[in-house]
Amino acid sequence: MNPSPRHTRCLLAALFATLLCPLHPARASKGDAHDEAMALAEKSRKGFKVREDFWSGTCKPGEKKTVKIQLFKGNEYWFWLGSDEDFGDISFDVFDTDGNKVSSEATSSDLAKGVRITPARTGTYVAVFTIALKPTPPGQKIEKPAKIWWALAYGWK
Amino acid sequence: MKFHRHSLSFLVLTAVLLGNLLWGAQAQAPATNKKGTGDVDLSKFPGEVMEDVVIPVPSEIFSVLEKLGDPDWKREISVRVTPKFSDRIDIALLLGTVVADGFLAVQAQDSKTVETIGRKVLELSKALGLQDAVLPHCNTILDSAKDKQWETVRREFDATQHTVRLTMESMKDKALAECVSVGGWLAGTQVITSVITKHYTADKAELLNQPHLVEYFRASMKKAIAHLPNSDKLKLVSTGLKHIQDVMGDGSATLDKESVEAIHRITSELVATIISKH
Repeated sequence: MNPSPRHTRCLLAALFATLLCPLHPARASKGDAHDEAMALAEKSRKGFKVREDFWSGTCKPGEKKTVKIQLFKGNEYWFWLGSDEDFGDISFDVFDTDGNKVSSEATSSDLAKGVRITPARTGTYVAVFTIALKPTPPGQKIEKPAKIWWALAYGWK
Repeated sequence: MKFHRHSLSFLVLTAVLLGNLLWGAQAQAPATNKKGTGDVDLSKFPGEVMEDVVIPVPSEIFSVLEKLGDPDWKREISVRVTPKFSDRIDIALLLGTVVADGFLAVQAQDSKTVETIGRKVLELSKALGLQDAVLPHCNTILDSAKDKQWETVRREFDATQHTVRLTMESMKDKALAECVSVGGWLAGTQVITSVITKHYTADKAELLNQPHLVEYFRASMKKAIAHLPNSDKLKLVSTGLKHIQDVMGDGSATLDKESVEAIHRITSELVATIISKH
């Protein structure tokens, strides 16, 4: 069977469309992750100055990430970590360089988690986080993402 | 014709696979596997280091100094007369110092200086080819300074740094982005040490416990020098950072007044180097 020119055009158009959207999840960008962090920040940022700058990247589900941060005694901080994964389960804390947890109060939404820190001394601290996947509800089939966008923002007062 | 159809399918399938592979590779690109710097034992935090240090803005330290006293911020302002540079490294270092001056002018609530600095930021951004990205921030800075909307001005200087960093990184100019950060940190530290030495207390001096930050800047300058071995200015900055690190020590002891003065001297010399032709 010889394909008609129309047939070939349709095939090309469909394949071109596939090329343009190569298995991208519906919402997957650092912008989404940052938006989620900022949406959570709105609930706890009162009185805090929020950095416009933020740090972002991708991680595999369950992979541990660390980010070093410089904090100043005398300030209070909120750090907010957002992700773009609807089925993500965020674990996020801040530690001193001896490995002691220093983050206390926490807040969270479906796609973000925030922790509060009042540093006892000025120096380097380490933010540690993982974004695991929540267990799939019985009877549901969910496509597991190969990578998850995350974004870290903070504010101080 | 049959052959043609199969060839087409094969080509498209290959392209789809390539597209997915490239997309996946790009998504993983920001991640780097590195050991930590200084004496932070990152083996206690098994994972992947994404960013060595989140670099603070001067306002974070100004905020603590405000709580510890009532600094005369206006007295710290010095509008620097700078020559026109053509070298991108020189411009990037200078842009960092100018943005830091902007944060100081906001702290001092000095509209006139903020406006002068806003225009300077635009001029330097233009020289770096970042005018389109930075122009909206500069416009907001100028408008908000007139209205004395200080929090908006502070946010816009912060946003300017963010935009410059992202734009430079997207242009594969990470070394330049680091120069902006280093210039900003040096100018900010020059002001902070000036304030601390005027009314020294141990609590204020503790704000200079930043050895890992200096280590990070030294590492980034080393990388920049490897790319631009003829930049004398980068070498001077790198040497100066080493001297600052020596004075700071490992951060276990609070700096005495002489040490703070020493850091002030070094940062003042480096800022003078950054804003000069030679």
